[in-house]
Formats: sequence, C-alpha cells, structure tokens
Amino acid sequence: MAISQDDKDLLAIYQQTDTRERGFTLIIQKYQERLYWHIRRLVVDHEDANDVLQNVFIKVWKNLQGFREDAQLYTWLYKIATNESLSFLEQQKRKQTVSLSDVDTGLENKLKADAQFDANKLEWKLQRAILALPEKQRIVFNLRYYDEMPYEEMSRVLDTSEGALKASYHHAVKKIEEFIKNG
Amino acid sequence: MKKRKDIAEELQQIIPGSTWPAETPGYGVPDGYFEQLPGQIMQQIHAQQSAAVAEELDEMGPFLSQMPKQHPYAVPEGYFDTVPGQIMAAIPAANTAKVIPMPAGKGYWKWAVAASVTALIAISTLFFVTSNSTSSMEAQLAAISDQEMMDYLHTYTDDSDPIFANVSLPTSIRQEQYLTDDVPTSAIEQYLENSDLLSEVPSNE
Repeated sequence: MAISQDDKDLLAIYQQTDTRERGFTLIIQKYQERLYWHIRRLVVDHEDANDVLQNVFIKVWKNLQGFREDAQLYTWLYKIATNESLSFLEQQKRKQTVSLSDVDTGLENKLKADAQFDANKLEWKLQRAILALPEKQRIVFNLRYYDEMPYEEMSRVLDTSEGALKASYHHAVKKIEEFIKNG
Repeated sequence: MKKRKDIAEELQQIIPGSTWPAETPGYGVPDGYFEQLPGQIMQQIHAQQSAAVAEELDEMGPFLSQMPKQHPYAVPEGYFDTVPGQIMAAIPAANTAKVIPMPAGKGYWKWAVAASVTALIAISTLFFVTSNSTSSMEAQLAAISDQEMMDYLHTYTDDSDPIFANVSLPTSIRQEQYLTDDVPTSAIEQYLENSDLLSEVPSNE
C-alpha cells in the first residue's frame, strides 16, 4: 500500500533542508500518541515508554531519508516502535536474569507500582491478563484490540501471515477471558 | 470552455433551436463541504474497521467484548506537548554521536605494519633462542666423555628400558657382573651395613 497523501505532504516538508525540522516535528505530532500508547502497553512504565518513544523518533530521524514511499509511513513507524520496545524488554530480561527474576514478573510489579493500581478493578485485571500473555500474542492483541489495526497492516508491521495473526489473536482473547474469569 | 461549447453544439444538433441553461439552478453545497468530505469518509472507514473488530471480538470472546475498552494508564499532564521538543533537542547529540567510518585502506595499512613488526620480532626472538639453546646443548654434550655417559646410564637405567632396545652395552659394565652368584651373601650384608642403607628401611618393630 502506497503512502497516504497527508504523509506525502509531511515528507515533502521534511525533504526541504530549510523546513526539515518543522516537517519532522509535524510527523512527531501526528504519530506520537499512537506510538506512545503502543509502546506503553508493552513496557508498562511511563518513563520507560518515554525513553523508548524518543529512541524510536531519533531512529526515524536518522533513517527517514531512506524511507521508500511505496510503504505506509505509520506501518514503518509501528515496526520501529515494536522492535525498540522488544529490544528494551530484552535488555530488562538480561538485567533481571542476573537477579534471578523474570521480566514478566517485573512488568507486573511495575503495573502494581502504578499510583492508580486497583486489583479489584476490571481494567487493571485486563492489564494483568494481557501481561500474562506470551510477548507476540500480547503485541497482536494490543494492535487489534486497542489500535483496531487491520490484519493486513499488522502483517506488514510484524512480518507474519494474516492467518497466523488471526490465530494468535484468537488464542490471546481466550486466555484473557479465562484469566479474568478465574482471577 | 471548449468542452462546454462542444456539448452545447451537440445539443443543438440533437434538438435544433433549443436553449439549455448553462448552470444547474437551485443546487448548492454547504460551505466547506468538499474540504470536510475526505475527513468524513475516513471517519466512516474507521467506524467500519472498528465495527469489524468489535464483531470479531464478540464471536471470539463475548465476555471481553462487553468490557469497556479503556486502559487505566495515565500520563503526566501536558506530556505530549513536550515530546517534540525533547526529541528535537536530543537529535543534535544523536547526530554528533554518529560513528564516522575510517577512510578505506588507511586503517588497514597501520594494522598491517604493526602486525608485520610484531611478527618479525617474534620470529627473530624464536630463532635466536632456538639456535642458541641448540648450540649450547651440543657444546655441553661434547664435553661429556663416553665413559661418563655409560656410567650415567648404568646408574639410572636398567636393561628393560626401551632406550636399550637397539643398544648392546659391553658386558663389562652390566649389572649382572656385580651381582652374580660368585658374590657371597655375607659380603653383601657387610656392604649394606657399611653403607648404612639398612637404617633407611622403615622398621616394623
């Protein structure tokens, strides 16, 4: 799928040397919230999400010159955000292996450390259920449930077939329901 | 304009003498309609996508589909207003931290020289040590007489040693010469007492 006209206009501003920073600021403003929430749901903590989000846009800045306009800009951005989030979680995992802890327990601890956390509230139970999912299923669930991303686009973000993504989402939904009903 | 004229001429050919109004009377569109149209269409597309996701979830997980779709996370007030500024401030640092590749060839040349010098020193040292130690060993061996060598071998080896597999020692120096039946037992005991060897054997008393 080719790039949207709106993104084409933003990139045209970015391509001009004298308006490059303004063009990039407009791109950040357009996509920051969607990317932030995608990252936040994966890394849980706000400060961590902020760090990852900044790394994502710095990477985008460095590589935007080479962006091919035969792809959707936001698919490319989601791909970078997903990879950066997973790299961050991998680093956390390595650190916590030393202290014989587990990264998923770490994420749940971060969830519980949230000032608003209330174990009895359904929305927090849902977050705990999502965190209990395997990493890939968690990403698929978030992209479908919260971002309402079509499987076709998700397939491009995650380099996975649509069939596999549907199966993954199906398993995730079943597991979450079971977690909430039993929890 | 030409297109309109062509159409008017065409109409005159079909119904000669007829008059057709140039504009459609009475039709109008609200102000800004065409500016808003793309956004409205996109809204409808998104609504259809949301409906498809909701329908799918209803089939897969009816319990989950009844839950309000909201997450409990919060962000500091005004956070998103600060994000572009934070990123644009970090970009110069990220640019200066960029690794600049060394010019091709220059780096390799230095490494090649360093490796050659090291190899030359190592080979020279090895050659010097080897040749010195060999000549030194040969000189020492030349200074030892055949008799001394025989005595050494006689003292520290025996006939079963593989070193003698292809060597025939003169019988004059073979051990048997000294420990034959001709030597009386009393003489051996006398020798042991005199050499104090018996005292070296642990007593079991």
